[in-house]
Amino acid sequence: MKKVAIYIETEKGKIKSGSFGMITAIRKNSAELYAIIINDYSEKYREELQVYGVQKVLFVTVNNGSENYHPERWSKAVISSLKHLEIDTLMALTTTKAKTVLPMIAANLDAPLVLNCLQVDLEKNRAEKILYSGKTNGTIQLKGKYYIYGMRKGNTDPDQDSCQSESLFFNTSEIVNKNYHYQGEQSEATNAVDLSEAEVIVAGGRGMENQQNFDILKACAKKMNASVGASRVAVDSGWVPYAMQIGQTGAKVNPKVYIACGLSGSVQHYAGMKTSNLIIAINQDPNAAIISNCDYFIVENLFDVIPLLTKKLDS
Amino acid sequence: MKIFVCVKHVPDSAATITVIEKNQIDEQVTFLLNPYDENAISAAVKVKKQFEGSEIIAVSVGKAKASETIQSALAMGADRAIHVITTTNVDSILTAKALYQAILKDGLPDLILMGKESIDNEGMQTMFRLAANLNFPIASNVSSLELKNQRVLIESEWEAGKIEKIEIDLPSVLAVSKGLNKPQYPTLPQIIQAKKKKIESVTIEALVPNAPESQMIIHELSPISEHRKCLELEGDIEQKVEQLFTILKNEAKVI
Repeated sequence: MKKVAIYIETEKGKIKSGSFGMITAIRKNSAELYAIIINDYSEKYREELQVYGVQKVLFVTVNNGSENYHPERWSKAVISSLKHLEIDTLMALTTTKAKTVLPMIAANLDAPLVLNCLQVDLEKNRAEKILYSGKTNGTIQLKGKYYIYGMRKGNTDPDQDSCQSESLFFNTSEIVNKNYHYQGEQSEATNAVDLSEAEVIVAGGRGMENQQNFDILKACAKKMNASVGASRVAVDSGWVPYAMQIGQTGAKVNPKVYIACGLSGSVQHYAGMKTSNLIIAINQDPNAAIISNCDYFIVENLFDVIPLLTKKLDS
Repeated sequence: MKIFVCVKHVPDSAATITVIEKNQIDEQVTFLLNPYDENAISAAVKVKKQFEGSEIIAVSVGKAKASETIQSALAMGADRAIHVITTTNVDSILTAKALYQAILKDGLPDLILMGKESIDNEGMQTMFRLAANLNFPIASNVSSLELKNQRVLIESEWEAGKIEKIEIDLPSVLAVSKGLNKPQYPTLPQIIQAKKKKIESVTIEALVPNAPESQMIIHELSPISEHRKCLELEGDIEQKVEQLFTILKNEAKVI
């Protein structure tokens, strides 16, 4: 049976959300699943992963385990793990960190890589992803000695398939480029919930009119653990930071529900959110483009609708 | 300071994409300079202002038509350009090898700038491959950069509003995001002047004679069809909000 390694990210003692859905998607290919976790040992992880069919969990200790995260050292530790396990196929969730770690691995191994995969066929080494600004679905054939896939988050709902699992341990020491000094991460409180991880996104466009009005969206978002996004117009007008931009040149999101408020819905905006399960538009202009390309719409002033919804969510 | 800016010729994001011959698109649509690469050129222009006597070289791997994008890069401030000519669309493995060879041949730079992704393939990896070929350190998604002596202080901004701080010594590869700057679009005189700038052309076969062992081949393309039901929630505003609430609760099950 084919062996597949899954790089699992942990944060604050938890397996990154979305990981179990990814494992469920991978399980559609019959393969023996190995998880790789770096510098974070806990039998709890193995127990959680076995519920979703992961048979082996390799706990990797890199450079004595003291470090929290270093992109290059992590990528090299994953490579050493693959060689140690004699596995040629690596999967991971396309998280923000994986967008650095996976390409570093691929570059180092000179191996093919596809990020944001919707599906993979591990028999044929093919991956499906969206190409050309959200307008086409592409099937990509990978050729090489290794195959690396970053799965897009939120594509598959987690589904249990319990098995017996076992913990494995591996120590490695990795040297990194001496001209690269990783200083760590700091959080900017622009959004309580990560846009790429939110189940619900409330987004504002030109109709928001100013910076303060975004507080109305934030208050509503908070009530349903949603994240707040924005169109390019709102960002270019200086109302919200670029980190909140959704669209072709902003974040690409995939939530269950996307509530677009006072947002016209340009082609470029759709390129960042068109894969949302449900698109709900609130716009006073019945001729706005988004009205003809959504699931539900309300023709009203958003400043009337959103506070009412917030109140309703509160009760 | 010698600065390379890697640019890509891509279909306009507003263009209608038609799939032909199973795995290609009809390229009779508007193409332009990849939007993130505009930020890279603007960043290079800024570095050049800081370090007098710097040279900016735009380099592009693409078909003959990519000369249009090279012209845009020259008009935005590149001093000269290298066009690695291809007859087919090439993957990021081959692109990075071609960029590497073109850069080696021209002479190693202090800095390589490029956009963090191309809007057509969204591969997000060419920069990492190029950096690995050169054994240069790399940072992607750069939203702020400051050059001090031979060191670049970088902030890398991600979707969650999380910021990674990285310091990198030159020479290095930096892939930039939209948040870095507002691109300065060229004036008419700059566009005219750009036509006099030197473009060196070389075929990809001359730089990379053998196809790499590792490849990513577009096997099939299919248009994404959108069928959304477009149902209006009707009634007075209270009723509309009530329906919205019910959809969130019962249909989407998110509250």
